[in-house]
Amino acid sequence: MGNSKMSSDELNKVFEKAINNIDETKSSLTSIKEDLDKKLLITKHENDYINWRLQNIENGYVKQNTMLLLCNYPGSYDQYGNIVYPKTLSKPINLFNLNAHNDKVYFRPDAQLKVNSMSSESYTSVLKSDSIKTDIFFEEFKSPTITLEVSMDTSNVLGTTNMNVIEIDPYLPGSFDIDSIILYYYDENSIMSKNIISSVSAVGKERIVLDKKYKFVKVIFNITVNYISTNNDNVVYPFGLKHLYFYDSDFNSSSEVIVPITSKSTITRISNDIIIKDVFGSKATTILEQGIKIYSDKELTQEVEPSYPNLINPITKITSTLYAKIPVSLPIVAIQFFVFNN
Amino acid sequence: MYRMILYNFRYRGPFEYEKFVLNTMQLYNESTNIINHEFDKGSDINKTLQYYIDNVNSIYNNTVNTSEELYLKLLNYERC
Repeated sequence: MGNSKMSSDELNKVFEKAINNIDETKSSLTSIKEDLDKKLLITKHENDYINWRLQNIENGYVKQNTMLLLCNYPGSYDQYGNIVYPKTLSKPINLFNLNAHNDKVYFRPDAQLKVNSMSSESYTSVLKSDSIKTDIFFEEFKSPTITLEVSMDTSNVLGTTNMNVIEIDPYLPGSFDIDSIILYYYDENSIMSKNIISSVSAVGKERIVLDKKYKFVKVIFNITVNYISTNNDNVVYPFGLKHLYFYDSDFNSSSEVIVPITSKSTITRISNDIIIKDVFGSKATTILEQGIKIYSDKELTQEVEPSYPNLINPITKITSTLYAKIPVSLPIVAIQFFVFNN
Repeated sequence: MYRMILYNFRYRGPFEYEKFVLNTMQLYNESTNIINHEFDKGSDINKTLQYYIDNVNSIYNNTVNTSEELYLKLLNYERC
């Protein structure tokens, strides 16, 4: 008498479990390897890019000492990267990442990102919140022009479709320009399209605030990569995004930032002319036009008037520091004031 | 749908079926052992693997942060 033999069906099941175990282990190790490979590729390009930028500084960049970055100063505003934004009234709603009551995040399954008309899980992962992200988007492209298309199934009415802020966080910040952003949106019952941005150069970690809320259908970004690298003697254009989010935000119209304007010697007057730098570039404007108030004391009680070409308003207090209260109604990178000394 | 395994043992000699079953069971045991022991959190292999993963992640994070800081610092540099 001995044990009964296993049937071929039972042996098959044992064999299949063994193969599944091997496949599971292989799949785990493959995904670890792919993740590490991608991070090493990004590290290589980021290092090369940092060296390239530092070399360019020696070859013709100059620090504008009078250009004041507005971030990290007191006031009521939001900051992303080093850019100052109007303060939001409540937490912005992320169009594709819905927060549930138990702090879990649910990604809209119908949302998709295509790169040069190709789909991939790594492309769509750019739209996902960090807590649920599963992949990294970073590639060496053969051409400097790249098209990103973000779309979702608008017949599925889960969540909001209103959008007025685009938040972008790229790898190799400053290495590419956005030539145009074309938005497709619902207007009453028809789909309209609009070129919402003409161009943004040297894109870094920033938010693009639109003039109003739009009912999102699709967005197309046309991008030109300005940084060239090589891989095995082949020219490549490395590009990738950490994330790309779309928000429905309400802003506080009383947002402001208070910055000190310092000089090496006593300031006798301050010009009405200023230069504002935002995500689109620099533009000349005036203190009066921007609604900025200048004070000669930290407590902001002694207001001073700026000087005009045909009207000089001297500052009577002996001080080398003035304080500017700057309303923040649109994103601002930096402001350049012009002061006069003895 | 499972196929019948063709043993064809009459041409192979005694105990061939037993050897075949043993091989199959051995494969199953080893593959289960890999998941439950070799790559268990406390195992040496897993600790070494985790050490290298952590190192790569640390270098990656530092480099990406440096690139971001450089970009932010260069915001008030302009071409002359």
